[in-house]
Amino acid sequence: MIAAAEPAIKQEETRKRGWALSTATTSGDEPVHRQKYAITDPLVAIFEPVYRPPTTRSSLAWEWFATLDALQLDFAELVSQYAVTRNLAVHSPADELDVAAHWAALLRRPLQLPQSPEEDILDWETAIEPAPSRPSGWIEVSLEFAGRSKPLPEEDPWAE
Amino acid sequence: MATPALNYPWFELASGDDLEQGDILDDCPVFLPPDELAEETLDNTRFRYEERDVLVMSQTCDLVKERPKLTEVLLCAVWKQSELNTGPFATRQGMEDARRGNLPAYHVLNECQLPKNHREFCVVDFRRVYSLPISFVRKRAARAPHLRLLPPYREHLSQAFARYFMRVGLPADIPKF
Repeated sequence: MIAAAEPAIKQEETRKRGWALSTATTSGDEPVHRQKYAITDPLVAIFEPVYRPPTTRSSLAWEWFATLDALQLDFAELVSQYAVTRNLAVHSPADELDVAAHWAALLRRPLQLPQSPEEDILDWETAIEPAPSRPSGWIEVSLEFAGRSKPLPEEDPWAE
Repeated sequence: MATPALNYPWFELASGDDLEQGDILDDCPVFLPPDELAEETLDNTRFRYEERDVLVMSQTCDLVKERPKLTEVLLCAVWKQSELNTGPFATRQGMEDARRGNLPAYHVLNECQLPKNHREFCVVDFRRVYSLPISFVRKRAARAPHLRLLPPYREHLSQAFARYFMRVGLPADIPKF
């Protein structure tokens, strides 16, 4: 009965400290509590649409992209750090401060948008050289000047 | 239920002298005049010729017999995968890059599995472009049945050619953001 009472006490402590959600660590199944940060809540609104295919991305998400641009936030790192934060266990107010400081530092960084890889993927220089060997030879030709070529008669598109 | 591959075949067999974009003519001679012909008028000279598998790039609507819009047909060289023993296409990675469109100068054609007309994967070479008189090409086409690339694959090819041909290299590009 004592073992059953301990979790109840911890839950009460958690409630008092404002820890509302229960999740698991990335390394195991140990149940832990994590704080819902004010900063992560709007990020849910930002990133959840992003995780969907682009065709279903909402206009709200695009507005958030514009906001991120305006704030000069590093979008790729925000996504990465958000994913980490979701899985981090915050065990104490000290941890809470660490994470908050981490996010604050992140938000002060200059813009580093992810680079489009396309220009590096396209290889315009690749060439089949030399050409594979095929039958070839020489032909004797007699050249006969036939005058300048004339353009093909074009139909008048305006004719009735 | 038929699979998409059966509903949308890549090739058909064409015969006769009618031409369409996407026609593949095997062992068609292309002629390479000597450089000196550019500098002086000669009465007699020698042209080098090479046999090439070529693919008709001119638009089908310009090749209609009754309404000819061209005097020469635009052709591109086509290489069988087995011919490409060296270079980037000798590797699976090279072929995969081309298939994905990462090598804009080349376009991969699917293998043809028509009965008695099997043809392996091919690479269309946009760097080797030729033109031949339309009457010459018609006669070559009439010599034997030949493969014809079908829509939408030939439009896909044509688009790839256009993308390569219209490329623009900027002398001073915008720096990366």
